Amino acid sequence: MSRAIQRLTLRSFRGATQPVEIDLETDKPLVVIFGENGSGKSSLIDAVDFIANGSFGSLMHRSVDGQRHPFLASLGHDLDDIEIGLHTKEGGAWTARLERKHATIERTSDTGELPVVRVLRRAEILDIVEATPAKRYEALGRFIDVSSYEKSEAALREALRNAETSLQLAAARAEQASSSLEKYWEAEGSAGANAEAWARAKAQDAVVELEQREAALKVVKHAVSAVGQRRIEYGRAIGNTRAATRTFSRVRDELTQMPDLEAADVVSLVALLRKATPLVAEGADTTECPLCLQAIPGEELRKSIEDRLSKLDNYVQLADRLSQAEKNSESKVAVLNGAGESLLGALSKLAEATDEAQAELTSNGKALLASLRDTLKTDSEEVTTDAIQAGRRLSIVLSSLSEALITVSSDLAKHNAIRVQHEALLDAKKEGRHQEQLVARLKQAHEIVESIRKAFVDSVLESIGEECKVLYACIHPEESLGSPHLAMHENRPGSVELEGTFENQTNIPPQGYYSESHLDTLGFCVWLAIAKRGKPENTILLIDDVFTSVDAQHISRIVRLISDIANEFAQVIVATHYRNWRDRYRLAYAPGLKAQLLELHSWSLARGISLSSTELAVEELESKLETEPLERQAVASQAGILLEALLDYLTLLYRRRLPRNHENEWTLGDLLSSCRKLFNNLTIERDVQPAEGDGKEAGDGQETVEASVGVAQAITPFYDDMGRLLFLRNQVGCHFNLAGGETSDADVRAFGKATSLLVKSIACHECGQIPSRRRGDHFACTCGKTRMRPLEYTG
Amino acid sequence: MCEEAEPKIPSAKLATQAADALLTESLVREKDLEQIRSAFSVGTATAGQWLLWVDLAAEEDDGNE
Repeated sequence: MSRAIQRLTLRSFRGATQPVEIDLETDKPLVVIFGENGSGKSSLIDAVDFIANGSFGSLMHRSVDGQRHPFLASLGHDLDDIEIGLHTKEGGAWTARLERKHATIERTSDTGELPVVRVLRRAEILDIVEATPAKRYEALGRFIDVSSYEKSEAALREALRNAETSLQLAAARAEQASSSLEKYWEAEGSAGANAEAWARAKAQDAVVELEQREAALKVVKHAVSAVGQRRIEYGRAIGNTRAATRTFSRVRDELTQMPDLEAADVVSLVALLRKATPLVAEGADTTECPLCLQAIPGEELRKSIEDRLSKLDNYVQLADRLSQAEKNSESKVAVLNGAGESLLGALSKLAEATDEAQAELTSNGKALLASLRDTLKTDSEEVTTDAIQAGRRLSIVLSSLSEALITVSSDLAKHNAIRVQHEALLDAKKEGRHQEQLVARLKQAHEIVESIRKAFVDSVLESIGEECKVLYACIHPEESLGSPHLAMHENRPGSVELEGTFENQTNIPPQGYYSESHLDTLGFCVWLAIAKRGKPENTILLIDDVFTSVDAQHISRIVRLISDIANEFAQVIVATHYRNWRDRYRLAYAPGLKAQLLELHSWSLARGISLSSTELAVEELESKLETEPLERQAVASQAGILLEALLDYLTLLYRRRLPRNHENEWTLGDLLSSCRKLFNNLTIERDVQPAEGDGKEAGDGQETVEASVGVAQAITPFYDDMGRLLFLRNQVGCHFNLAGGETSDADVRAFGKATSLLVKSIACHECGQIPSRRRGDHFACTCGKTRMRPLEYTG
Repeated sequence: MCEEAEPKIPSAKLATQAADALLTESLVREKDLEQIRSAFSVGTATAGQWLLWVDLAAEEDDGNE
């Protein structure tokens, strides 16, 4: 079922100050709405756009201060009063209102789908033709927008860049390692095939031996250091011992020089005197000697004891010092003995360590150590002078050891560096190979992904371009400009270039060379080609008065093109202020025309939008023929206009000769003279379906359906009938004269009928069109069921 | 609000086509295909994912050799 619009209602929307109801004939795919400027054409188009697309329509392309939605309501009406109703042929029904500044669409029936509506306004044409490539891309975006795909493609490109960077880094690391190895190799005499081979061999050398040598030297060095330390301690102990010995000797000498006293006695006496002191202390009750009981001169006695003790103190102190010096001397000797043992221990360890490190020492060092060892091999438990002397040579040994250690450590460090650099080189090379493979694969993947996208976009654009080319050629046949095509901009994603030909120049931008009318038709063709890409059977095209700059000749081709493509869509609605557009249908078609003609009346605030159906001229003539009393002048005039339109059309189609004049205007007589011979040769052939029962019976008893057959008919009789009464057109239809008044109604009717029959004898009974398309040896109508011959006539 | 005349440009369809082509060239693994299609079609595939997908396929290839 078709989604064509069957009924459209407007209330308080734009120009609809009064409710509007429009019933469309859904068996006719094309609707032409004619109306002079300001009659409400755009209001009708905007209403469909509003309900189908939620769009504010033509308001979107106008400069409006502030928001646009307030202008959707008819003048003096509230926004809440806005209501658009739409019914489709398949039974769908929707109502649209404005709520919170947005269109809200409510489905009011259970069946049908809202039609897809594409609206072409002049602004869209400019977007397609004159806008920037990016804007054009937006217009085409629905068909070529693969942004999700492009995002992932960009990620793949980034992955490729990352892998390329990793590859470069790996190469740099390899280069650095290789350069380092090269230097080592050259420093070592460039042995082997190359630095890498040399380093590989070097890296495989056992490093244990070097490490052992280094360890042994470190032990010796440590032992030597220990000996040095012990030697210093021993020397210090010797000094201390000697000092203590000297002190002891000196105190002893001092004591020797004291008065000859037995030391023991002195001590005993001192002790006694000290015990007696408290007894004769001042204040004590000692009046007599407890031994001899003689009176004691206490004071004298006390002083005597103090004097004697004082003299003995020097002796006692000296004795104390002697005792102390003796102890000190013994202690120092003990320390000296300990230091000696430590030194011996250290020397012993040094002797052991030197056995391990013989190979690493310099000759001087070796000699020194040998001498040292020999000295130490005395098995003496005491430190000999030689040992002490040997210890003094230790600094020389240490220096030798340090040299050896530096050499070994340096060898070891070099070995490690070569090994590390060689490993780094191998790692970098391995990583490089990996990244190289990855880059190649990512590159291939990117090429595939990119080519698929480009092929898709190019195919869409090419397809649109090809369709556009065909459509454009229909409007501009045999012109030196055309062949429009679309292409993605090479270096700018999201940009579509539009190019065409002009004279012999190809790939020129149409904006630079085409006239405004050519650009208009080009934009129309691109838009139409795009619209045809979707599902046209579900799509309604609305064309809102876009051809303002196109001349009459091209308009007629556009009219024919739209008539031709209308069948492919659910419906095509054209709004135009161009009266000739309406008249081309009204005058050049007979009943059967697959187009509905509507005419908008002049708009007023009180009446709002009003419209009526437009009859074809031939239908109008026939209805006038039925009226009583007969409108004689109207019939004669209408028949004359219809006849002129037909003859004008045929003279153009067959390129008939006409007398030249300044205005390119010809009388009916001129046109008739030009076509007289043509009519004698004109035949119309129609496809006629066999009537029921005319089929032949097949062997199985079934009747076979016969294909339609062409029935030819000469036009001359119709022309002759009309020709005999042609004078009535002037006599009755155009001028005042007495003869006209004497003409009977019957003759006027006969003239009108003959004219109507003549038109209908040429027009197709199916599509109402007069054959005009060149097909082989004839002209054909749109539906192809009526053919007119000859194709050329020069007689 | 209104039905599209045709599905929005089929990034998903292109993604499937591309993923299949990548598989044919052994640039990705079959087991990753669904994930690739999905991330590819909605535009969430990242550089890291691409590196992983392609690298794993390369490893698989090397393993097979």
